[in-house]
Formats: sequence, C-alpha cells, structure tokens
Amino acid sequence: MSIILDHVTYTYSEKTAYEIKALDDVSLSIKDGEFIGIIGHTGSGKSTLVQHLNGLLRATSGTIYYNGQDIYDKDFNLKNMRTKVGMVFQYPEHQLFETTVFEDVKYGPKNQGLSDKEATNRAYDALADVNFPDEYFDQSPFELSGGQKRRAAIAGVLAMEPEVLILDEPTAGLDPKGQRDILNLIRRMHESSGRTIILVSHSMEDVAEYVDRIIVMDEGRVFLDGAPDYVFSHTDLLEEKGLAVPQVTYLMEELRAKGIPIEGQPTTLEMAEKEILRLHKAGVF
Amino acid sequence: MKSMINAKQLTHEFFRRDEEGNVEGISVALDHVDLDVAPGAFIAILGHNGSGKSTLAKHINALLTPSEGTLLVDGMDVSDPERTLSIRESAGMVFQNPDNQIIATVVEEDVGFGPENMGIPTDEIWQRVESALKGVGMWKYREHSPNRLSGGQKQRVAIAGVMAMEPKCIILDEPTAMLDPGGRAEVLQVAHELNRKKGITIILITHYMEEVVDADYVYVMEKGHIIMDGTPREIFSRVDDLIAHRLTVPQITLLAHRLKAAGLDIPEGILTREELIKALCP
Repeated sequence: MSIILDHVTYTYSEKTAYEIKALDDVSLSIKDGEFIGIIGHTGSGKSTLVQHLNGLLRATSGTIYYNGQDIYDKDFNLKNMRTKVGMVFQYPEHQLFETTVFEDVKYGPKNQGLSDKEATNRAYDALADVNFPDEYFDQSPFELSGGQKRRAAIAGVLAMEPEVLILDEPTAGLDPKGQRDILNLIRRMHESSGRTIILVSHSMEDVAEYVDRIIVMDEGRVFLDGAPDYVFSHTDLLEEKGLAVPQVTYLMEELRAKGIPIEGQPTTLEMAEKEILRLHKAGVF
Repeated sequence: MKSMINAKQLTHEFFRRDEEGNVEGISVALDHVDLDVAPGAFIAILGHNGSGKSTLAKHINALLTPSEGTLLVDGMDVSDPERTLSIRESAGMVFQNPDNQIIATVVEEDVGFGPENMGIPTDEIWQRVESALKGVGMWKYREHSPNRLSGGQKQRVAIAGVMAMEPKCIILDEPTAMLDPGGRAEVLQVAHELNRKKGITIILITHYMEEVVDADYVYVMEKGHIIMDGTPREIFSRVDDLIAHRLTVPQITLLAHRLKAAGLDIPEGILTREELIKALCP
C-alpha cells in the first residue's frame, strides 16, 4: 500500500489572468502505516495536495500511483479508490444530513453497495471506534455538541473502512479539551489499525506531539519533509514562510543560546520537561 | 468613569419549540452575568464550546437582546430598538466564519461597504480601505475576488471590513480559528495596534491560550456564568482549575507548572518564554 506523487502540478484557472499554480512539481512517497502531518500557511497548497490524494482534483500534469497503479489510467476505478482514501473535510459536521446519527454513519457503507446488515455492523464499529456514546445513536446529529458532531462525522468516513484517512484541520473550532480528545482518538486509530493517517494542521504543537513525519508546503511545493525534530530545527526558514516551531522548541533554543547544554531537539512538552529535569539533576539549573 | 460595556444581571434564554411552536424547553445561555469593560481595554473571553461566550458577544452589537437584565454599550441600551444601528456602528463584530460576512465581488469593495453604508465621503472611504487592508496584510489582494482567497485570507478581509468602520469597540469571535501561525500573529498584532494606537476597545473570544497572554483582563465562562476573572497571570496561575473546565494554559505555562511540581524553584503563573528562562537562569 503506498501513494506516490510523481511531478504533480495543479494549475487553477489555467490560461487566464488568474492562473495560479496551487501545486508545483510535487513528488512524494507515502508509505503504508505512516502518520503524516502537513503544515503550511494559508494558501500554501495543503488542501489542494490532499484533494489530489483521493482523486477529487486531477493533476494538470504529472501522475499519482496508488498501490502502484496510475490513478489517471482510464481503466483505474477512481470511485473505488475514493472509498479507500477517506477524507474528513474541514468542519465535517456541516456534511451531516440524516435524521439520526446512526443513519448518517450508515450512509457511506450503504453507498459502497454493502447490504443493510453489513452497513449496520460497520456503523456500530465506526461509532465505537470514535467512542461515541450509544445513548445518542438515535438522536438527530444536529442536536449534538460540537465535539460529538465531529466524532459522528469522522465515524461516517471510518465506516467505509478506508486504508488511508485524511483529516483536514479536524480540531478547528473545538475547545482545548475537544481538540485533545479528537487528536488522541486519531492516534489510537493509527496505533490499533495501522492505517495511514494524514493530518493537515495549523498547530505546530499538535503535529510535533502526534505525527512521525511532517511535510511543510510552501507556494505549492514541498518545502521541508522529515521527522519533527528535523523539520523544527529550521526555525528561521519556517518563520520566513509564516510558520513557527512549537513554543517549547523556541524555549530550548533560547536556553541553548544562553550557553545551556541542551541535548537534541525537543519538540514536545514531555521532551522539554525531561531535558530540563535532566539538566536540573546534573546541577545546571 | 463611563464604561464601554456594562452588563448587569444579563440573562439570555433560548426557547426550544416543537413543529407546532409549543415551547419544549428553555436553555439558559447567559445566567445573570455582570461585566464592566472600560473604554480602551483589551479583554479576552475564554470558555469551552457552548459556554455562552458567543451569545454574550452577540448581545454586544445587539444581534441578540437580553431576556432579563441590562446591557449598555457605550451608554446605549441594547434592548432599545432605536439604538440598534448606533450600537452596531460603535461595536463592530468579526465572526468565526468569514464566508458568512463577505458580500462584495472585489476585496476593496467589500471593505468599503461598511463605511459607504455609514455615509462616509468617498475620499475617506478609500483611505480607510487602504489602511484597513494594509493593517491585515491584504493590500496586494485588493483587486481580487474574495471567492478566490483561502479561508485565512477571507478572515483578514472580514476584519478589515470592520476596521474600516472605525468602531469604538471590536468584538472578535474566534477570529483566528482557521489561520496559520503567521496569520494568527498578524491578526493579534492588528488587534493590539488598534487598541494601543486608536484606543479601540477589543473583546477577543478565543480558544488559543497564547492569544490571551497580552490581554488586560480575562473572563472565563462556563454554562452561562463567569466562573473566573482576573489578569492573565492570575488566571493562568490556576492550571488545574482551567483543565478541570475543559480549558488549558499556554504550553510554556504548563511546562513551568510541571517543572515546579517536579521540584524546581519556579513561580506559578509563568506566561512567556522570557519569564521561564529568567526563572531557570536567574
């Protein structure tokens, strides 16, 4: 299982005055089971990139291989692939529409051609995966709290059992506890199912804490690509592009500039805490 | 001293009705809230989803009116329908979702819509549009269609639209929820500049704890009540209380709190990296 982008370019409004290259010669390889964070300032091409991964947008040039097959080949079943690459859009609760939560979650698998019984089983499993309380199964999705709606919407995508799950800013607009709950849920899904997860985020702190690999987009190009400690060692470059590093990473760099012998590149609260406590024990603080 | 915003026992109830219009239930979104904001203050309101923050904000520019109690904005009662337009000129509002606030087909016309509606002379409208768009870093997009902008860019245009009306007070209801760190910093900087240089009262409703650090005063809401209020340092000294209320504290404050718990000699209520570095390396 893999997704390979080979020199993918996408141009909006080609050959008009408004022509904009939203993706500019992007080559990437996404392996099975990776947990990837995509960051970039607004308009950097993040959303355009993920919309190519499940064939919602078609590259102007270049191609994409899904499990080795060219998705633009006329014999390729794009509709089938879209159920394998599940997409949770920004504010997914705006797409809830059925009369009950349960019916809403069943809609996807039913649309895949599964029997009612199979779709029901899928819906139970998906709602359990997102820890959705069963007393609300028959409630209208519109009467739920913000966090619950978002869970229901994510369950609707999970019910199609995608191999790859793409989430475009899944925590936007939620309160801090709601954000943490959703991110922990995504982490658990990654750990238990091993499915590939691609998380588009504006929060440097969140990607530092949760993902294994960060892809930084800028002006439609891949600007940096690597593990969090590698990406967040480029503070100046990231700031030039309207981005930042996690607050604790700034802190550790500033301590290092004062001559404190910081080891490594701490990017999460836990890592910074551990490093400061180590130095404390060593008598530095 | 005169207040910019003064709420006394402000209460707002939403009636839930069935299909025939019979009242099924009443939910209290604001429950006897007292609040006083001095002109020129920078106030932040924190609270989890459904705590009543946005309902409060909607009262300040008379989109909602109190079920009980009073709310005065710049001395005008929001319950008085004859004052509604004056209140909206005094208190401009920026909402969470910019798509619902942009109306024109060209960015600069959208920003000019507000002042034009207020009968401002054309020359001054253009000056205001220019300064507002430059203020939010969108000047180079002035001739673009708002439809072609990203969510973050649209939000900055929406803020410029309110700024161009030069209100005495601006209420920002989670204005940065969809912006990247650069955009977030820019919007916050613009809000602080308007506050400092023009003395505009700012009410910032947010989920980002880092954005609250520079406010003059912070209110924390839950279930329609104000459950905590104080300076940012006072509020963020209460790490465990905030977490119990579904909130959090800035990452640096949390780190300092944990280091203190592990035995390091660090004061509570650390807000910035500079403060933590000073505490670590005196």
